[in-house]
Amino acid sequence: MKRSNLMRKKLTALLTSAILTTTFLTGCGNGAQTSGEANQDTQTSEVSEALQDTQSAEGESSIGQSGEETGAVTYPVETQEKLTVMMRLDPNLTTLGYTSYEGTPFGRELEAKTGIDIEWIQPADNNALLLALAGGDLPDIVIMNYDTYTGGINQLAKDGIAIPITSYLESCAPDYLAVLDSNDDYLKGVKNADKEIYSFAFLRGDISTLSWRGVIARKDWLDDLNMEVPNTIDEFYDMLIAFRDEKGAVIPFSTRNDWVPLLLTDGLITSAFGLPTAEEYQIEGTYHYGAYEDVYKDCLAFLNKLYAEGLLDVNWQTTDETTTTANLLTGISGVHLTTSGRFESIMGSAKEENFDIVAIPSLTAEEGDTPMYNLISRWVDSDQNAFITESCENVELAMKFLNYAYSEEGNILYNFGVEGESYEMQDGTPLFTDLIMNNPDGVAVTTIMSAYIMSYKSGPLVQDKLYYDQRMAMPQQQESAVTWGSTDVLDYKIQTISIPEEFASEYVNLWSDINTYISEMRAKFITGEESLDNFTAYQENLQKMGMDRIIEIKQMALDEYNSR
Amino acid sequence: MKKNSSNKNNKSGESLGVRVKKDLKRNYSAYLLVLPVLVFYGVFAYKPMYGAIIAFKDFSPRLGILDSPWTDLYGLKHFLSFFQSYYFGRILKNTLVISFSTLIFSFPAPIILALLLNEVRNRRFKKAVQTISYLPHFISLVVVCSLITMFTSHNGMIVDFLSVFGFETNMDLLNNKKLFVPIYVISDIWQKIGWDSIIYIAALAGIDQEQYEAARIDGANKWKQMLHVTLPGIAGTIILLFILRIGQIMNVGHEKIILLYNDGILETADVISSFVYRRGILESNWSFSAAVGLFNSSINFLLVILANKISKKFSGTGLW
Repeated sequence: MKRSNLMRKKLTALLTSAILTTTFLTGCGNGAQTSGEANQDTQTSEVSEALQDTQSAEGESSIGQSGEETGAVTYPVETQEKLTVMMRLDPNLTTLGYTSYEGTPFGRELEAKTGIDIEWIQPADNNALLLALAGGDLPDIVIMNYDTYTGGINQLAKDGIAIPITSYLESCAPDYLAVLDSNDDYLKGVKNADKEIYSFAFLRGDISTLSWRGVIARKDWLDDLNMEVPNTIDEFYDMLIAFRDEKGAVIPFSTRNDWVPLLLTDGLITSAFGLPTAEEYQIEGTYHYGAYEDVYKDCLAFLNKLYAEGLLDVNWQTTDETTTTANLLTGISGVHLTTSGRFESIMGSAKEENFDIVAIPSLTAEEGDTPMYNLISRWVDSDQNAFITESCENVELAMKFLNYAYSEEGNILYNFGVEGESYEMQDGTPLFTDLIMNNPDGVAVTTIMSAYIMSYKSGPLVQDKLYYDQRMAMPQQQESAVTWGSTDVLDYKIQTISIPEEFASEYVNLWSDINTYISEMRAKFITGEESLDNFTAYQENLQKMGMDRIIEIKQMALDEYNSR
Repeated sequence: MKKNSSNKNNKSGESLGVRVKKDLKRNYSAYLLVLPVLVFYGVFAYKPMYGAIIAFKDFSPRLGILDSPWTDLYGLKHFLSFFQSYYFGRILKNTLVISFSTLIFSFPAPIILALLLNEVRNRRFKKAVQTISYLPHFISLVVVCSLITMFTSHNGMIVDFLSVFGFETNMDLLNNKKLFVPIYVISDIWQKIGWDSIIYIAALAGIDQEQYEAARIDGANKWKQMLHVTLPGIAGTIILLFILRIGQIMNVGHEKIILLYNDGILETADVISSFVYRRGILESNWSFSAAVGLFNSSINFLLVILANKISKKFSGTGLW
């Protein structure tokens, strides 16, 4: 299929090359004119595609040289063709009784607005999707988390699941191109190591949508005790002591299993010891891994102290979220690590009258220091990116379909759903209706959202600030984004870098054991099962296991990213 | 299958082909009966076996099994990477420890239950015990594991019970690496004892009652009867199942392990299959998983042959 497609393209290119030489100069103007018309017929798009081909043959990327008016795509597109789209099924849709987007208000509206008939293929989960990719025929479009595919985008491209779309962007996805051009990190993030763009990526719309997880404390307790929200590590410690002694919190700090390490990996306490995070970070282009640094020992020592003094839940590795949330609600604990998305349910189930929570910033050593790090989503997320496969026969159509999400109108559909059903326009701003925010049948917000919008999780779209602000409407939530997010994280954060293909398998083989070792030793150091005197031995062991090589490989990837 | 010994008496001079043809004609109904079984094994057991070659290849799903390239190091890359792993010694040890513990404690349990039930004369009580002990078998493993987590938590059933004897702790038992294997084995017994005893109860029902009568006449008491009549009566079944069980030594399923373990107890809880789960499945590293699977199966295969030989030598019975 691909072969004949290529042949056809080449033929078209040959045949039109003569015409092109004469129309080349006027091409731009023509494009702008025809774009206004409702029907952009196949011939024009083929010509412009051939034009793209010649351009890329000359080694030029179309990115960066896009004119102001390269031609918008008009929706609905007039076509008889169908597209097959594969994406893992959102469990929330299953809850609502759907087996795919087919029949959901979102799916219906999407087909109506784009004019393209979509056949959804939705395996139950990501593993099922990977298996489907491994075995069966490829759909036209695959929407998936490329990090879960061994070898990432490079391998997807090699396996024919992702084709480079750079040359189509200008003609068929001008809106996507415009969005990418609007933020330097978008453009860097979607470009692969080979300078090609493969995906319609999940983009975060605003810096305020990036911080969504951190430490919270009982505000009413702090007020009772006349304490300020702690900024430094000492104040934090004093707060835990006060909660235990004055408020009777048996386990002052409690959070669900495997979330305690987030104190280190999200950089919530590490700034106080001069370490941005226990995971990877960069200092002016140099790659570092926190758990391999000397000061990491001090961070572990602090957690070990909390553990030994009973300030940290002794069962932090086994307790589940239900229990720890209950701990917070019933006064067994007063400090919790959670996501801002959970604030509603926490506040909603509070029994005590004055119960209130407040976000605690990443801790520092001295009052007035700016914390170095906090959890921050990448501008360009690897989750649920859309790829066009090589068995797609009408790439232009697929491009136009995916481009829709990044257009003004499409952005509203992907973020707010259907006008009159899931949102109403008020003074030019879309506002969610009660159907979503206060469902009369008592359906949870995220569950009902799954049938109307895609942005509440992830997908090939821009997660809009307007959406996010409404989703996180509580004052505590809005405040938390600021409290948690006021750090220098962008200086240290490593965005989506891609490991050069030739080192990919070496990296995976080394990393798997090292990763296990780091998390295992972290647990042992915190509980004191392994004495911190052995920290040097731990570092030496990491070195023996190939940590230096890991850093070397990652440094190459980082250099490549920074040079994009 | 093609050779048929019943035809050996045929007049010599006829070639094999002719004899087979004749036999096919005469016994076609029997061949027809066996055909679906052969097809089943061919399609579902033997044909997929060629897929094991991906253990020696860098398998890429899109290229397919045959077109994927062979690995470096003469196709042994994934095996070496498994053996050279920092954790190889530990996961092998843990796998064997858990396997042998279940073999020693969990294998005899249903036999004992069956023998005890066999002595119970009250039919209603017997049925009730059987039904109750079957139940855990029908619960999904995920649910079983969350039950285990609840039972073993610091305010769960087990600690509550032990506190009667003065045992106090504020730690969930699953945080203690020394307790992982006992928890694993005991819950394994709880989950399987009823269901696995069915086959023994069936075997017990097959013992000729006259033998008991004869034993009683010879003056054997209950204990002697069990020792000299009942046990020999089901010995064949026990040996059969034991050999089959030996063939599972290297397989400790990853599901239960990963549902129960945490970073703090990896030292005793991490086994080959959970290691492969992290490195092979989560990273979609099919070839690596296949290599480890092949390694495990080879060892299991050798163990079964060995166990069968030993059993034949000492007891005269075996799988084949």
